[in-house]
Amino acid sequence: MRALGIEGTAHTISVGIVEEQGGRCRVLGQATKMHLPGAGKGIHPREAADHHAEHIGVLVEQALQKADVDPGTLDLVAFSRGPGMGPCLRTAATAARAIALRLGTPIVGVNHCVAHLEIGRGTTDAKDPILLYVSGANTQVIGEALGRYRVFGETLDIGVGNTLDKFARERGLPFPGGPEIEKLARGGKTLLPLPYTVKGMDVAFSGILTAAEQYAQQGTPVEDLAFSLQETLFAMLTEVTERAMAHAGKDEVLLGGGVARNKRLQAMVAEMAEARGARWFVPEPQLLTDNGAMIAWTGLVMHKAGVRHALEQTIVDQRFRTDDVEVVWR
Amino acid sequence: MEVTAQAASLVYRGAEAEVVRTEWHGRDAILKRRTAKPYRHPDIDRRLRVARTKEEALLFRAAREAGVAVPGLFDVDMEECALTMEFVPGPMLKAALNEGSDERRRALARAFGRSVAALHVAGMVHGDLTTSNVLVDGDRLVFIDFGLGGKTTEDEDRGVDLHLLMEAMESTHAAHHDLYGVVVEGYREVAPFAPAVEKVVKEIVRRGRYRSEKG
Repeated sequence: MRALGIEGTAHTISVGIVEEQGGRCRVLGQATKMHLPGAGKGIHPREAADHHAEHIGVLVEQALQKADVDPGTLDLVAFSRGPGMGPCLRTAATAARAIALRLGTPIVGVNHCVAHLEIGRGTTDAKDPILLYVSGANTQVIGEALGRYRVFGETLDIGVGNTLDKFARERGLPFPGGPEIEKLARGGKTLLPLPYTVKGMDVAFSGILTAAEQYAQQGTPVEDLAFSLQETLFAMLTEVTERAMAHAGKDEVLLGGGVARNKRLQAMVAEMAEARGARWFVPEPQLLTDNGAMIAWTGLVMHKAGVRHALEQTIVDQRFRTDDVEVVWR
Repeated sequence: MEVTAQAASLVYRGAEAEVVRTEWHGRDAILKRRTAKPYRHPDIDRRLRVARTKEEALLFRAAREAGVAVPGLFDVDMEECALTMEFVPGPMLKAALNEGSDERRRALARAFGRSVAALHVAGMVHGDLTTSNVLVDGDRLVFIDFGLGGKTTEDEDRGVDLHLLMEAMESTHAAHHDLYGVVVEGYREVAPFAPAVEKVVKEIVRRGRYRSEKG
């Protein structure tokens, strides 16, 4: 079975084509474009949606070319139904409906957070993992319990990616902030004490930003700041992930989201997992950031399990909860 | 502290500490040692373990004074970041809630809410109110693991405490989804500030990403 998926919840518009082979996901082709607001500016939903509308047509063509498949061989079209920014979601959904109608395929709306977990299960050996999902807007610790993906813990204020981005913006570093901070952190030597806010399996980051800003104004080298920021943020994330694993009795951990590309975070999670005799998994980098393949794959496993969405059920849901999805495919 | 090899056996390896069954001057005891986490920077690691061990010892006493059952504390070892305490057989509330009769389940949930309220009235929060951190000893609920708790009288902190309990109940006891409501009933019986705290919980649910008003 073959599926095309469109991701468009935030600044990224992406088209992925996947195929099932022996229960595993094979990514045939993917084309992605990211809306980058000007320096010092945040993302505006309308502008991002305009960007997506402008590029979606070309991206579909590119993805088909890369995959080297005939559109007629597609069995399913999937799209990100939410959560995300309304205008962006509607743009992606409209494109998906048009393609599904044109090709005469079924259409499935997919939960974006669930897709980050499913692509990990589809492309790695993870079977029943706790997912540490870390992106710009999202920071969640998710795992399956009684037929739903439950959010065991999450950020109480801002996402970890946004925390890194805000710090980067204040320091005049480009967006996204994570990769720059990772580079700088390698040159850091001194660990500065920063607020470490873990409440059970939840985390909070805003206090760290305030403290980092104060250090910066005292002339602290940016390398030391980047180093301390990473060490503190990622220790918090690793700790709540370990808590969720202990609490839910799971012995697998999976990484997802753009921030999961960070090598220091990967190393911490790996070390935590090894210490508890657990296995850890991280999908390929292009499947960590928002991508069409994860939407296509999740749509595919949902469809195989009998999930059918009529056209009028494809209305987007900006606040689509992770645990609103009945996980019938496991 | 003297722990003989024969007497000591690991009962539980949590995310944060290892819990060892041991003996303390001839009494059944539990040794809770916050082990070093090699994944995090040694400075952060040491700072957290010392602070949490110290805080936990203080909160044990405060809880007891508030009339909430906690294991008796025998010894505090700051070098090892270890507490030695009275052994309470259990089971965990988590197991008791998933097993017993519906009536028993509701009684436990109500008692849970009353005890949490008593802690809050006494000016503290537990900080990690999962059903794994409460032991059932007959009709008595014994609270353990105050490692993330603190002294506070802010409704915001109480709300975070209760919100965590709600999340834990929903994720671990999803089959009995009305139980959180029973916990809150118990909470209201003891805490005069319950309406304000419940408002905070609703606010946190609303603030949390992608959670609907229904909570």
